[in-house]
Amino acid sequence: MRSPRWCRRWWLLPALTVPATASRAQVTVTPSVFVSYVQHQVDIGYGDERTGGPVLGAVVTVTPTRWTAVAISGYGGTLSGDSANIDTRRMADLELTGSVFATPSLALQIGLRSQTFTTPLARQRWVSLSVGGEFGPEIFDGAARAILRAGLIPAANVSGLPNPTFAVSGGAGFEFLRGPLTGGLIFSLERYDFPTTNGAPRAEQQAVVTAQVGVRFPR
Amino acid sequence: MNTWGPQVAGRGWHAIAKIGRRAPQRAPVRCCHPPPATRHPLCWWLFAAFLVLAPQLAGAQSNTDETLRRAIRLYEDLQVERALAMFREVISPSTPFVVSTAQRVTAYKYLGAAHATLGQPDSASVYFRAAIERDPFVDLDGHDFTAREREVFSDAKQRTFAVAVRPIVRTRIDPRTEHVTFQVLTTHGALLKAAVRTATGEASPIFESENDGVRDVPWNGVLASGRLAPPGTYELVVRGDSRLIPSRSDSGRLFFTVEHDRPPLEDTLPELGPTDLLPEHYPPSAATLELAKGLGVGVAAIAIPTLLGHGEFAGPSRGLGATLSATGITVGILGFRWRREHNDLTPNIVENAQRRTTRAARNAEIRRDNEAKMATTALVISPAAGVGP
Repeated sequence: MRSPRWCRRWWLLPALTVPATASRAQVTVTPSVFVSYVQHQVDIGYGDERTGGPVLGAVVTVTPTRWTAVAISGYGGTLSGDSANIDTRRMADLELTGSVFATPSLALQIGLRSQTFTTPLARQRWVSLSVGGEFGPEIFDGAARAILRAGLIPAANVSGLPNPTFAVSGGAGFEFLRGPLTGGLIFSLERYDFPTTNGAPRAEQQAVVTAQVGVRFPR
Repeated sequence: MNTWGPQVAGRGWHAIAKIGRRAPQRAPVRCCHPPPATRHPLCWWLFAAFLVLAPQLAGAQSNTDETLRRAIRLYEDLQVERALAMFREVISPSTPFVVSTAQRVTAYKYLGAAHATLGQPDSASVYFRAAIERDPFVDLDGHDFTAREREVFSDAKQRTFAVAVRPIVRTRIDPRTEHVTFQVLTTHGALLKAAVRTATGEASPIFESENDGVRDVPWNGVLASGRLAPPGTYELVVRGDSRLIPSRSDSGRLFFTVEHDRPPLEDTLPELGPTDLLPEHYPPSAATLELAKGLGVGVAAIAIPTLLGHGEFAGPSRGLGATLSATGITVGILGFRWRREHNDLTPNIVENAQRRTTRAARNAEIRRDNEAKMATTALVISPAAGVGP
């Protein structure tokens, strides 16, 4: 039996929660729902072990001041293997993200995340801290934003595994605004390198494409 | 004590009246005049010393003045022959002293009067005409000259035609209620026309009528166009056509300046220049920038798996990234076209319109204030130094 080495951990949409209207002085609240397709890959020395599937989630973003934003998000779903030898696993995620805008189009972000990956044989828990930045210039006169982001995951704790030696993330996409409605389409990727154990290196990677819609209050 | 000396009784106007010569005309008036200078012997000595020293003490014109004074005094003392000689000295081309026009006119006037007194009306007329030609305003005061002299003088005026304008003094008038008065003269009956000319040659007639003698011609500062005379130099042109001497005309002119006396006017705000307005259109590079943003996302989506991901995982991750890459390219192209079709910076256009409206309103306010100030404009009319149109 293949060991549950698939340390499932991925970073989903933290920056999607950053509203484009962060420069507003008025406090706004933006609840959103999203659907993502997650592709998770693990290599523990035996080749690429790939699972994938859709997940559903929700996020609530609050902009208390013109230059700050706070978001809390959660999602869950089931990832299926691309072969019969790979176990299907359920994943759940809860994340708190804070953003500080250096300029209306440049934000510094910090996030705290908890994830679980569950198979019929075991459950793995991840707790991680991420820091990064997001550049979001306006297009269509502010009706949309182009999003480019990059970050580091300096601290991560995975049950049953040593901590990753290197972890980074990146993303690109668009956020759309029309009246009170918001939407987004984002591609993101996370990479984790673990120390070599039992003579074999362990690597994990998660790529996600997310579509999100929400409503901003007050409208 | 008689302080007038031994000659007083024979030289005063009362004494003249007693003698009977010229008394009918002069005695009632001249008695009121101040007495002549002291006749004490010491004064005569001082006077003689003054005459000797005068050339060193005063200018040449002062000598002419003194000569005139002495001659007039002699004339008044009925020493007409001696007075004539001195008056002739004044008008003589060989006189060593400077003789002003006014002095020459005075000399001619007294020469004419003296000849009239001596019963030489033709000679008197010649001198009177010479005086009139030099100063048409010259006149014989009824207090100082006899009826016979004035009669001859009047006859000389009928035979001489001249038009003149008396110099003005600085005057301030409210054109709504006041006017400036030009004093003009014709020596005898004439058709008189007066007009004010601007520096550009625009003439505004202000008087046309028959005239004989001195006349006041009023002007309220308004030109023929109906506008208040703007500041500048003007010329009053007076022309007369004699009614007594056929084909005889004369003219006179007077230069004067007009200034406006009112609170200073405020300038209207200048036209808004490029630095005062916000750009109302995106620069040509804006469309390219929109394209670059979309393409940037597309390139990043396809590059992230290669740059950040593991090499062995790159293939499937690129497949997901390609979906965003295609979206990025599409958005970039749409953004490029959209920017070219929506090139207006609407907020800036609104702001510029607001600035233009504010400026127009302020200028309207300034114009209203200026019109109110101009309505209270007073004219200051001053003699000019001859620089005219």
